[in-house]
Amino acid sequence: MTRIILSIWLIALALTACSSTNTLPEDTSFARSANSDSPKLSRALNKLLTGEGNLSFIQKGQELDIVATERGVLLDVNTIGMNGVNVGVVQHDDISMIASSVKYQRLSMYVRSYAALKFLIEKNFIRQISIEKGK
Amino acid sequence: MLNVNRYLKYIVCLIILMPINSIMASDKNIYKAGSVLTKKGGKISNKLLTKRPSDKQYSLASSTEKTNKPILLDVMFNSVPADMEKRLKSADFDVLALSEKYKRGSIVMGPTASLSELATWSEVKYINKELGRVKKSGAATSRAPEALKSNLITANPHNLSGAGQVVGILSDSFSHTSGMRDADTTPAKCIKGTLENSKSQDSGDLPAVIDIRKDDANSCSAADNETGGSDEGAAMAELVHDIAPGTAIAFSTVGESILSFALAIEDMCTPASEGGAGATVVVDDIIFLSQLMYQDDIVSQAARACVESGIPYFSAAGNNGSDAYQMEYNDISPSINRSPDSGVVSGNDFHKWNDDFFGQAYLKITVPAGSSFSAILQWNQPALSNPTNIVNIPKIDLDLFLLSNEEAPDTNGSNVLSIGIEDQADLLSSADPIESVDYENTELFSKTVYLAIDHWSGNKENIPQDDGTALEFRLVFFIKGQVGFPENIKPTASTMYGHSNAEGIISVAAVPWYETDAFYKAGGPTLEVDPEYFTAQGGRLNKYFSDDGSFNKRSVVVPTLASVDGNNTTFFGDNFGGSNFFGEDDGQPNFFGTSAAAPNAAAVAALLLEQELKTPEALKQVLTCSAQDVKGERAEVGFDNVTGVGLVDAARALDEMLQPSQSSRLIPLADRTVAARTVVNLNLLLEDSSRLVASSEWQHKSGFDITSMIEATPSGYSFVAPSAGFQTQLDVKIYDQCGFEYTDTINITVDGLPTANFQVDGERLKGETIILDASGSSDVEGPLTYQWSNVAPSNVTIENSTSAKASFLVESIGSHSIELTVTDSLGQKDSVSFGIYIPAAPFVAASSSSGGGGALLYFGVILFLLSGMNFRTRHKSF
Repeated sequence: MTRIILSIWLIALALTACSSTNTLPEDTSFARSANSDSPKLSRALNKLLTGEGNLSFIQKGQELDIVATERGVLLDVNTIGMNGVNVGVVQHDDISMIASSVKYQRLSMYVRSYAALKFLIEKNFIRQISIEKGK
Repeated sequence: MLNVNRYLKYIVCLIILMPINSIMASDKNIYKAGSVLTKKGGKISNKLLTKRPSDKQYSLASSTEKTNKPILLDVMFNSVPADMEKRLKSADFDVLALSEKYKRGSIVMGPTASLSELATWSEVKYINKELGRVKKSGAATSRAPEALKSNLITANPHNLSGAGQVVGILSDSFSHTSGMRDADTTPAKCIKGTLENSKSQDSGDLPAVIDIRKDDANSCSAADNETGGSDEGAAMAELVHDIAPGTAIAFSTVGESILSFALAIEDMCTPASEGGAGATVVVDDIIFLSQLMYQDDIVSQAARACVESGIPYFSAAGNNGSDAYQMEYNDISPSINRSPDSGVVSGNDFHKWNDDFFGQAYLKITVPAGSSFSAILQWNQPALSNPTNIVNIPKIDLDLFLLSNEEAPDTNGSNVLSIGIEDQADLLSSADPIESVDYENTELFSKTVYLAIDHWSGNKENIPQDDGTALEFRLVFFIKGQVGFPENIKPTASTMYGHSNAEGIISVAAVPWYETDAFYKAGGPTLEVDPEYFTAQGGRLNKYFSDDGSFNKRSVVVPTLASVDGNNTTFFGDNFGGSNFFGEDDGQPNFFGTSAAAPNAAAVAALLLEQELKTPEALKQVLTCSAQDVKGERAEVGFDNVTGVGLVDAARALDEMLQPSQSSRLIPLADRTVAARTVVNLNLLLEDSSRLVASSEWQHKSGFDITSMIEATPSGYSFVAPSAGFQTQLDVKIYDQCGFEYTDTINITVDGLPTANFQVDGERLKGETIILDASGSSDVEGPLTYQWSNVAPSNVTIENSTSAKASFLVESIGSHSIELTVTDSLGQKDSVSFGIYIPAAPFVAASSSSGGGGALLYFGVILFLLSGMNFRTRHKSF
């Protein structure tokens, strides 16, 4: 009886182990690519940039399930060492500033084009750009 | 026949009263019914006088004496000469209005003004107390004033209305919808300014003027076809106005971003003299999903600064119930680690959701058709988005996957439904330690999805900022519709985060108005006061980092208190109720949610602040000290994680404000000896049994550290005692609902287990008596009780079966089995059983603990073995 129970247990162990994540071979697994295009951009925004040349900024955003309206994509921008002069520098035809704060080192804006997004990346005082998650 | 005696009494009384009258009339603050100020027919209304039980005289209402509030008078004149205003002012009356036409004046008594003197003026016809205003019966009447008992303090004699206060409301929008706007509403939609002539103002449900600081969120861009805000801010304002009709209201949208929210709070809390809204009480009902769980984000910092500037801040606790997990990260394959350069998500570093033998790497979630959810993952690492954090980058990177099956993401990610894989660790441009996934089931049938948390980089066990702190995460769900979770891994954690957990903020849970004592509290799941099923669970939540990202572990206990929701508005929400349910269904929409509860609490605060200006901390203490415990579904007796200290009680709060409670006394915790592996209850009770213990901290002092094993219970705390022999000394510090601190120390010893043992003597032959002696049993700490029982055969009668020494008469041959159970003073037991064989031929058996001798013994042993009986068995029970 003990042998039978032990056998069943071993079979169960083997079956579970085979289907378990514990032994999933890495070569069949998902590769998390380096966020190399711009480390300042969140993954979704880096992916959005890859659409340049094929789709419009808004179209690509919608394809990626990003909330992208005619106003653009609402961005949450973290800065470091930003001053009042810097805020004035962030002017672009395809950028609509919603709020800015030197105190909080933060910008909130709608961006409507690939060029505007690249324009932001180039600013030294901009540390990280992500899509506003909403409320 | 004339009753002479009675008339004599009147005469005597008049003689006695006359000199008293003259004394009272000379006192500027005390008035009586007398020759000038007669109770009936005098110039002064009885509303300005009240009878003192002690002296049987009349004086100003005790409440006004107590608070020295200015008294507003409505004076009727026989005539109003030109110099009347000047004369009134010289008599220390402040003249608000004076009309010769109407022969009427509205005046305020100054500190030296004499009412009795005024009554002697020939021009004065009658002096009445200005009874204050009430709004015209607004279209929507809230039941919150009764439920929160604010109607008791807005009525005589207190007559509080929130006058002089400004309640600042932060929400989505105020006057975007047709529910608020009509043709003559100004200013135009989305434009800031003084709001007038909106529908709710026309109907008397809002003050005639409202300061709109900002109302341009969402729908104010011509480029969009967005539908705009829901005007929830106006609905909140209607609730405030129902409780505190005299308070002014300011509103600002929180805007569309976490930054715009922080800036709106700053504006609301800036004095009017500096261009701000000048709010004296602030309330909001918003959380941005990217607000922080383990650190104060910028909204929290702005709210905190508001409180520090002297303005109480109320925030809705949230409506997500306990749809959240809070766990220490637990690697499913601790021995298998992804190579740092492989870039592969194999599943070997997924979090293990439970402690089954193989573990569970996927959280199975069932999503019915049409339902959707967002899940926000955060872990205890610092956020670089905080403006003062320059160098404290997060050092651990977790990722979040939503998958279509129970398999790690495949090579091309075809089973990935949603993904959160931002880069956190070791990057100066690091994302905050936040990942999120979203899912909406647009199919016609229910779908099952699988959520996994992957450890990408950094420490797996303790966080690098502090060796003693485990890597912990919180996963909060925001659900639309319904979502099913596994039975064995139910979400039971707190959903509260962001600024509602910031220091000094009053976070507000929701209880339906009809569940309160003033209405039909038996209508819910229990016969007691049941909070809303959705109101957010709080608890003691840890924060680990200062604003600048440096390690700073502390905790916050939320929510603070509860208020009522489900009240009528003119346009917001759905109509509720069945026929004849306290006036419902009354055709007016009911506003449910903690968004509706928070403004009711803020309005009560406005009433109290009119009575007496208090610091936010003092006001919070008044509200919590006077709150009524909520005991019902999800709400335990005493302080609990769902309703905090309980329901706001405006009447008790005013009493508390006028006569603050004193400290009670903690009933000392007795030192105790407990049994191993039993549940030990540590009930913290105050001498004033009506006072709740709001929070407590246990600290290890000496011996075995059990602080991590202590858990909160409905009546206090408990832990499971470890193995026998441990000793511990604990310090406890508690705070009651009024903020008073108490301390105590307790010694706990875990008792050893007893050992049962006995000897058997006597000739083992039919007809002989066998002696059973349990004096060899032992217990370190205390005396034992004994219980002898025969297992077989059943007809054996044991004499003295509860004594250490017992006996029985052998009445048959064959196998006999005797069991001894000893029990110590804590109820811990030990048992031992003994088998003997009574042969047909005589032999002498050994005692249980010592051997015998001779051939008969061997014969007996052989017979015993042949009988197949166990010789001696032992088992302990607890």
